[in-house]
Amino acid sequence: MQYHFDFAPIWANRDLILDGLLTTMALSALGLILALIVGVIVGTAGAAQSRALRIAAATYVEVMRNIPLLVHMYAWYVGLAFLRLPPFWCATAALTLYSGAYVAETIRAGLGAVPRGQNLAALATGLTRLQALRLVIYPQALRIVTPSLASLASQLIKDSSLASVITVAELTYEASAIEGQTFRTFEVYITISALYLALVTLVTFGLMLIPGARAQGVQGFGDA
Amino acid sequence: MAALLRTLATLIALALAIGPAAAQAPQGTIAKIKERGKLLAGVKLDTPPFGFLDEKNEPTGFDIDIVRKIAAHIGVPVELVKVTSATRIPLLVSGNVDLVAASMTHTRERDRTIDFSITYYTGGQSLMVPKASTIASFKDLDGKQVAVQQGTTLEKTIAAVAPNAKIIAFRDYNAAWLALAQGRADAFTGSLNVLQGFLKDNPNFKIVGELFSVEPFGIGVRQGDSDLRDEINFALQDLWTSGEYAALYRKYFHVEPTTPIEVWP
Repeated sequence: MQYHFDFAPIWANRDLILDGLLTTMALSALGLILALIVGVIVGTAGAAQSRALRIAAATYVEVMRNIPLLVHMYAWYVGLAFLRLPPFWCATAALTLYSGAYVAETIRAGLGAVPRGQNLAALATGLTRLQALRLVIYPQALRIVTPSLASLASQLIKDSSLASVITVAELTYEASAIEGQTFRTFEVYITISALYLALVTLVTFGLMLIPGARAQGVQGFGDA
Repeated sequence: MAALLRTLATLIALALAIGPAAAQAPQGTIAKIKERGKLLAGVKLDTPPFGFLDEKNEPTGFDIDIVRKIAAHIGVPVELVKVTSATRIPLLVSGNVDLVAASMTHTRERDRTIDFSITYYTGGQSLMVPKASTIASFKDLDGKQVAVQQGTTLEKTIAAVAPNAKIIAFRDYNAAWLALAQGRADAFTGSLNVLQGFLKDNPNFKIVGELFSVEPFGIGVRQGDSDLRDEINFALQDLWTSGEYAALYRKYFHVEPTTPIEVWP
């Protein structure tokens, strides 16, 4: 006996798969944008001179990062059930807070990688602290961390599959639904693997197109 | 791009690798079981009363006792292998288990992928709601949230009989039950016997309305494995004739069997 691969049942359910893919994209895009915002704020706090800010940022990062994402999902959906948040927003919140911690660490490292002299020089020209950060430090730091951020983005897209356990009808959820009706386990998971692969590859390549993302030599001046 | 192509090639190679593993001859599954000295049975352990862990953490349940009897019929001990929805077919097809007895409803669509034994249990779908709920049957579900286990015939049936209900599907019965208990869902649908299991410990809920589906459960074997399927069918029929089936049924469902197992002369 041989197992005969048959993708016809998958094709018959293409509407579900497409819906799932769109939900995965929406969830990932939203999670990515919000995680970037959280990460920039927390990461900047983590690189601040104020000890209190640094401790607060480190606490956030350790707490969020050291709890499994699956538990984050359940915490919002089951633990905070009385809030009656729709599953999609529970998943968005979980992804944002969890991935935000990783983004924060990356941003903090990026800020640390910009030579100190850059900040001092910017302040010497009469820029305020905030202006120096925004106009001089961030552009250099973001360039340094773009490859790491691209890798976090790909991680986040794959992590979004965990939203399936709290009934968000994304790609993995729909795969499981189709599997149950057709028993075509191999075919359905091969299909969604290919879709994840395509999506993650496109996003990672897209992020690397950001001007200067591939140029790693920015710290080659200033600090001796 | 080269990296992408390499990854794709790996994926395809992986997919093809399943082929040879799956290519074990069905002829002589019984011979293979006897040579190995045990029957490998895929069972679920999260679906009382069909398959669950008892107080001593031992696997027990209707499905599990049935496979024990089938193994005895073949003349070997049984080794239980825990399966989930995502693993049962790959484990069966790759030969890691000989059969799957996991409260599976036999459908024509599923039958295209694997083969099933004769019906060894007939279930019906019902509805569970909070005691104070005004929902009296599936006809009252318009606009209501109904929790169900994902990928099941139950999910398909409820969508068909209550097209205006909002169906939220969960990985397993426990999660769907939790949604009802937490008030995230207005109703919880499932096999009557399973709902009764949940009702036992939760008096603030009730089961309402008539049964609205017929769920014939079958034991799954590899497509074309008529050798083992025959043996399972004969074992089930012998269990019915000897009265052992009725005893098991009473043990787990506390009533007499409602639907007899067909017996071939």
